[in-house]
Amino acid sequence: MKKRTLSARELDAKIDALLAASSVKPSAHFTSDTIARARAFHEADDAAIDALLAAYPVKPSADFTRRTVALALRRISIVTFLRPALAAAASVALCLGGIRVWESPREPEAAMVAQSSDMEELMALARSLDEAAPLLEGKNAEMLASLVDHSR
Amino acid sequence: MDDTLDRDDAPLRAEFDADSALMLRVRAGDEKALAELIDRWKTPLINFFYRSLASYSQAEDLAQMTFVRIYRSAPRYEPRAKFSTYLFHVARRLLINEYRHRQRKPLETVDPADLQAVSGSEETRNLSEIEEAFNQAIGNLPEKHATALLLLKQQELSYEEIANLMDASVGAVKTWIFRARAQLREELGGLL
Repeated sequence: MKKRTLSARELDAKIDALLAASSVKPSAHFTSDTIARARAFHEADDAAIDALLAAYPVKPSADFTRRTVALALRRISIVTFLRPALAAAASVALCLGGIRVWESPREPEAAMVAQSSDMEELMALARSLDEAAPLLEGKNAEMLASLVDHSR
Repeated sequence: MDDTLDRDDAPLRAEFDADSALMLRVRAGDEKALAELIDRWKTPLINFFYRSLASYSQAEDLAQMTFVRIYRSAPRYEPRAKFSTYLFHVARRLLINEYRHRQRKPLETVDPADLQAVSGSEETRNLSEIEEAFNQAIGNLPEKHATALLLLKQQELSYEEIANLMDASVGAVKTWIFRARAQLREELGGLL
């Protein structure tokens, strides 16, 4: 018996039916297996990341400890030497300024002039102290230390 | 300033560890104790900075600055928490300052010390590539995420200690670490 040739339309319908059919069913553990597999990938990644994180890829240079101790001691000495000196200078300047204001002329106009010039002086002193303060920090401290060393 | 651990609301008095004992000797002016303390902590500290900044010279520089600050604040030191918590608290402040500095000056030259010629076997080259990619991936993390993850996995601090030194809750630290891991997985997935 001769087989009937399917029309194009019938062929498409047949293909669609085949495509839509679920010919195989996933195993009962498919979902849990997939999740476990995904987790295993994560765990493998995590383990690799942890290994990288835990590693110490660089080593300190041989004289790191010696250099650091020297730096710490030098910084502490310059700070302890200069900070009280600046504080004392500021106190003296303020006291002197206060005395001069107190002993200024009694006449109102003269007193105003004297006070304003004293205030200007005080402000100038305060400004110069402010400018000196950053010298105690950072690399400037090292520079100052070397300057002090040279001056001795 | 690094005085925050001297506050009255600082963490509860922790176990009196060997490092705290050394630190008390430093406070008393013992320079040998300072050298011993530096010897004990220089490698972890330099590697913490190296992973955070991907620059050996900067890592060493910041590690030095951390020890200098520790020494300067020694007269006020009280062993309220583990020494490592105190040390990395100071280190993190310096790291944050460095990040701010980098934001202001984003263009920087590469230090010749960081340019290690990659030669040798295929395996060495692969390892260098992984190292480079890993450093870059860490560098792409927000500072809090990277620091929390490094303190947990590289320095083996507990969640509580990390929360304590980062002034955050344990829950926040766990979230940062979870997100850091997820981002690292995503960026390094194909390489590892």
